[in-house]
Amino acid sequence: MDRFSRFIVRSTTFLRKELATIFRQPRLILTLILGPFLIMLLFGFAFRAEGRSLRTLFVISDNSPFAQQVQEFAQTIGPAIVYEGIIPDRDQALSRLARNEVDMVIIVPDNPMDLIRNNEQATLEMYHNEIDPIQVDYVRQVGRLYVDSLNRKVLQSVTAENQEEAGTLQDKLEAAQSSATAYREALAARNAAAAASEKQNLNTDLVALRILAGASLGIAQGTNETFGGGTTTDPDQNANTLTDLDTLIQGLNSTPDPTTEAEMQQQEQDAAEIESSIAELNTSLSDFQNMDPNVITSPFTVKTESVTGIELELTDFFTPAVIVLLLQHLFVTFAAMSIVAERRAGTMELFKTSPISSSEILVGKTLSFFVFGLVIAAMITMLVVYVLGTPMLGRWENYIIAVVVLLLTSLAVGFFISLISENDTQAVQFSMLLLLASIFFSGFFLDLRLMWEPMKAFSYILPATYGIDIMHDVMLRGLPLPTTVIGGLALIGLIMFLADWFILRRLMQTR
Amino acid sequence: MLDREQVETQEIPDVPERPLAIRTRELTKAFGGEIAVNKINMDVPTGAVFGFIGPSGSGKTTTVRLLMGLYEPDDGEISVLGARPSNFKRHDRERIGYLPQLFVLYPDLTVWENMNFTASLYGVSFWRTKLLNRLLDLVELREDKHKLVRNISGGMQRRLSLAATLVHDPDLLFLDEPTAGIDPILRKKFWDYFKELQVNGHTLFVTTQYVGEAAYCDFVGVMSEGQLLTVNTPEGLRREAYGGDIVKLGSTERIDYTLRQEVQNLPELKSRILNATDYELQLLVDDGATATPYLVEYFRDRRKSINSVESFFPSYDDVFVKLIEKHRNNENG
Repeated sequence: MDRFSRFIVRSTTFLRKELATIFRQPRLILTLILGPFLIMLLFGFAFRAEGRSLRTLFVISDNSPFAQQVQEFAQTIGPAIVYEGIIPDRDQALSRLARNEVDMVIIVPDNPMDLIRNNEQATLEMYHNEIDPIQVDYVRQVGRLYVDSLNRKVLQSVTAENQEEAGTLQDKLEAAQSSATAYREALAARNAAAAASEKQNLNTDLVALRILAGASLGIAQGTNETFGGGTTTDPDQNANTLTDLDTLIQGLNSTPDPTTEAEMQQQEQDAAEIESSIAELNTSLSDFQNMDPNVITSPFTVKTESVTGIELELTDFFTPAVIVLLLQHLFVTFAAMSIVAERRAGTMELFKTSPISSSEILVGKTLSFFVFGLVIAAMITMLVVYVLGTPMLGRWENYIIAVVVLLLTSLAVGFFISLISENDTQAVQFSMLLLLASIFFSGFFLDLRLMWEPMKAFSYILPATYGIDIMHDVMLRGLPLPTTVIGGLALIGLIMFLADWFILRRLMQTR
Repeated sequence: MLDREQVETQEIPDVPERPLAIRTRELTKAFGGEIAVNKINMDVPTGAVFGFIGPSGSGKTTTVRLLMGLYEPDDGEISVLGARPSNFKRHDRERIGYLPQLFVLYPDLTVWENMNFTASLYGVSFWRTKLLNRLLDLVELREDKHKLVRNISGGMQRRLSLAATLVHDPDLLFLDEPTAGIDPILRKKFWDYFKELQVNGHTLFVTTQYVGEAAYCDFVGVMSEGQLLTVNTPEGLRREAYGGDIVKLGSTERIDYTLRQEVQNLPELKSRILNATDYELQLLVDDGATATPYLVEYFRDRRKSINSVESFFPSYDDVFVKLIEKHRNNENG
């Protein structure tokens, strides 16, 4: 036989040996394939993406006028808060919280309106019994949601009251409009006495209108100023309605009675402008009256959509990462146990005295676990895609390339662990440490973008980091293979294989 | 301990000049300051069966591992098939077979799969079914070839190891205690096969604790406490241990003290009584072949009736013990 044929014979000896050993353990294979699938299936059934409902107890003093409103409001706020009742005793409420009978206690101040009138914010005290930082954050968010909703509710109520009040201004507006018309007509008739009298009437009507319409016009004006063209009226005119009214009153009061023809003409023009301003004011108030208080207090809402065009379930999102983590862990462990087991059994001595080289051992062992890895990966993938329904938006050939590179790199890392381990226990420990590091640093469940920048370097020495990134792109986004990422993964594999070869070569040498 | 000159001038009768398969000079290996192999000088000619005998811990396995290139010697020279073991090339390893002391094959594979595995390690062609069957026949495992190794007995595992060692038809075989744990009948069969291998031109270096197996060897090296006490032919070992041949003489009449003294003082025999009863004598003589007819004649002349005169071969266990004692006595001055 020539040299190459002997290389093939020597390398494939491991393929037959490892596969025979593995396939003689059907329970192992079943566990490796069905295990992850069942876990994902159960996870899909068990995990609910909806936020948790917090059983909430309110503490309000017996004589508080807000008890009923708090109850009504808490019952309508949504599923995040489950109303558990109102009690006056703060200590009793906190004690129930400590016993986990409720999830949250909200203590309402006795005199919130007094505080607000005194230009102070009324603070609601919220207590929880969580230790999980994610749950603590969730409780805070629910608290903020509650307070925001409460504030909005108050604003809506105030706005609605003002809209109602604006309706009562109609008579005053009509009176002012009539006085303005009479004033202009008296001036047009050059009847100074009548003009003076109508001016007096107009002034009286305007002052009364200003006093009564202040609040309503203030909100209407504020709305216009903030949102510009958000109402049906011209913003430039509406914005200054209230100010204009003040200016008109001031101007009317400071204008002397006309004595000359020129003054008559000037004041006639002024009177026409006053007429026009009152008409505009009427329009503004009508617009304000017709607006939905909810739109005024919450003028913006949000609608979120993904450009991927697909809505993913939580299980769908996690499945590619689970496949990656599982393949990495399985084949790192298989490889890690492989050479260390040969050393324990004494077969390394057999290799040392035989013509097989370190590269033939590495190629042979890699080949055998790789073939097994492909079988496992294919079975798991078929199950998650065709049974669990995990989306596969990309091209299958890209998926296969990703799995191949991931398997080879994982094996290279596993052999490295095997070669630096003294015994089986150490090899298992190293493999478990790698798994733990991969769970926390690969982006498996914590987004890498949340990580401190220098620590990302650590993430990128883990094959799983690359694998998850690639699988998300290929499976869930339908993108082509990210060449830089797949290149990085392959580079790690290559470096590890070279290190493996170097260490194994030294191990095979005479002591 | 024999010095270099003693070994080199060892007289090995009836063995033609052949190139050396193994040659060591002052071969020394220590572990953590404790000397395991101490200045061993040894020549093993090609085509010989070399028995390496010694008690457990005497340094046999260490020597084999040095010869296999698994250990680097601390001092001395080694040449195996003309190469230094620590520099063995692939071609050198393909010419050598090694049966380690412990079973190192795979218990989760069948007998057949283990044979296949070893054959592939040595690059034996995939067309090897006939060869493997023949080897399994030799070790009487053909019927068990589909059994998992973990389910066969220790003796069967040993036989499998031997078959696996022979799978690539090596020129030189290092067999570290191949017959340990094997029943006497199969042990005899193993040695017959070793002899067959020798006839086919193979060289065998066999370590054993069974001193009696020295009889199967062309040459025997006796190890004790890391030292090679002697290298000789099996027959030469007996002579070396006792200082001559032993002749056993039996008589129907009582052999009295005077006669014993006369026999012992015969100038032609230079004999010494090793053991004596009223009717039997064991005499140590220079040469059994000449002493036997002389003794028959001597007793006839004295009208003493004798019913047997024969060469006596003490067991190799006794020979071994004698050699160790002799060595210790020499060391103690």
